[in-house]
Amino acid sequence: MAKQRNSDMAAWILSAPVITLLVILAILPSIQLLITGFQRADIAGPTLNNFEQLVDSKFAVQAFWRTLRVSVLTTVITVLGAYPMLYCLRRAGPRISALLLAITIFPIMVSTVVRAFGWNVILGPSGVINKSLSSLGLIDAPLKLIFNEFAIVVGETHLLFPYMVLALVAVMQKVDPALEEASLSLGANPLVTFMKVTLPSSYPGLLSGTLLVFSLAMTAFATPLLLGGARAPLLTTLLYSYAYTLYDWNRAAAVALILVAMAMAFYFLQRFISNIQMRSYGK
Amino acid sequence: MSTIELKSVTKRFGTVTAVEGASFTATEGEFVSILGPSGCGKSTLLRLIAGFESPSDGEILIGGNAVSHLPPWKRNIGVVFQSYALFPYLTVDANIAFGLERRNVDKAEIEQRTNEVLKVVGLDGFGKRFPRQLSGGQAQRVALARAIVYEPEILLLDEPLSALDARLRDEMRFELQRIQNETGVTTLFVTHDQSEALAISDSIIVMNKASICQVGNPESIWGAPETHFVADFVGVENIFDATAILGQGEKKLSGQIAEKLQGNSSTGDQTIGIRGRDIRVSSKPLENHLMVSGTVRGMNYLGHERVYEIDTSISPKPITLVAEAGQMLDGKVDLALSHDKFLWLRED
Repeated sequence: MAKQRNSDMAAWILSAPVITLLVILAILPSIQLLITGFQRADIAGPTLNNFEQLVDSKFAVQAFWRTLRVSVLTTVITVLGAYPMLYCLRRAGPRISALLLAITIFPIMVSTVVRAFGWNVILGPSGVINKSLSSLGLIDAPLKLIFNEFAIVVGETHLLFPYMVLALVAVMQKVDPALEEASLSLGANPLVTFMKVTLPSSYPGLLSGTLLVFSLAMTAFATPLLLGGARAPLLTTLLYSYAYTLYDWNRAAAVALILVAMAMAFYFLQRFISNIQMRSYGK
Repeated sequence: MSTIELKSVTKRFGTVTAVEGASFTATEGEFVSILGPSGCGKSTLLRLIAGFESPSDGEILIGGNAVSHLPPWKRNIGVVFQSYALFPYLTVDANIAFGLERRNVDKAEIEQRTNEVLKVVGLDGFGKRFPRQLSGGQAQRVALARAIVYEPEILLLDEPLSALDARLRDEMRFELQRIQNETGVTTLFVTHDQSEALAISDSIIVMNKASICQVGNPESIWGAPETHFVADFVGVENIFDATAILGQGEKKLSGQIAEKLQGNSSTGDQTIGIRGRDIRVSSKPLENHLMVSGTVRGMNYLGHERVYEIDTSISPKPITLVAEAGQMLDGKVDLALSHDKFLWLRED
């Protein structure tokens, strides 16, 4: 019994640094955030005033819906792009698929700011696209391709596509390759095999990939700031302007709490779907 | 129910040759085993016939039709994989229905045939389960049911029993034999286990180092291995250089054997094999036997028999003698090796 207590003690002591770090870096700030979000300098006690003001602000409500739209769209586009990529990776030989994967992952190694500026060069009023179109005489005035939702979605899709591919590839690597061969031997052509075998096998990767991409898209800051600008704020850029332009930390905290709530809602939705999925595996 | 015919099929992966000039024919309804050690090319051969790989050279015919350039989904084959490869997210019923659905069989018939095949493999009532809820033996049966339900022309089995424990393996061997008899489908069975191949095959193809060494029925593979490798693989314990006997100038060689030894020096059959259970102990010389004296070196008691290791002058390795459990040997012994039991082997 004493021995048991000793080893429990040792476990606590050994994990103390991590626990301390977690408390200081994650738990205390979260509590602080929660408190700040429900406070106002001119009102005594906890209040919903911050949230009420946000709901009343047309700008904030627009930013909320825009954030949701951009995140969902980015997730959907990365999924739609990742599957053809996965199909190529499965069909190509080991050397080609390694190269394809390297090309896909490479953008991760470039800073988000640099990438956003890259899109500036391509999408800007005097950018590559507008210049080419006007020199071909197809347009009179430059198209508005930047500082709007479209540019944010483009930038975030580019940013997050590798994560989706990696999430799917990681799961597919663990799937028995004989499954696809079994399907072929049973008379299914490669397309049917992809739809009936590869796709269902990839669902766990799809679930983790969408969670990852959705939450990253929702919390992205540099990309929406540089490609969306002040005219198309998301919750993150709105939060930034509340905190650093208006110095209204209480309202900024409220925005942050909304972001947390959205992420958690998506997480639980994902868990719910994955539970259904697991049940159908007979677990 | 079709024949399988291979005409000098070769498969190269870069500089590595996995299968070299393989030719054989499996007749309708035959159960053929491809036997060989791991890495001998037997699985590649199966994959070539299934269409997962295409041959670098040669021709593969199923039911008389050249299929070398037909993809697997157009070959009408059934394959059972070593890992079973059941679709984990589908029920047993849906797994079995997969092949029928691809053949556009209507729903009512799918249901009926799925139930029938589940009865054949002895899993009546398991249709609503998921693969995870099955034992290894049951998963094996489902994999088999899935591969035969649409009545493929040929059935290919890739070491299907190797993942099962010994008892279950014996049981499944009989099951496999029964089901193959019932369906009459031409079956190709890949295995590295000689006893498995001997037990259930009509015909055995022994492979080594990418080539076919010997084709024959189980009795001839067991009783008359033609090469050093095959003899070793089917458990012939004593294999030695025949010239060692000549060189030693054994006077007890009968004329017939001496002649054969001399005659064979040109054809290359220079190696003799003899099974441990075909060696007798005899104090007086026997007619038509090679008499060798030796010293007992060690003994293993196996319950139903005793295995002795005996040092002799005819081979550098000790000779293995399999004796009855009651037979005790010690010290110097005289061995009689019957000439009729000699296996004349080619070096490969």
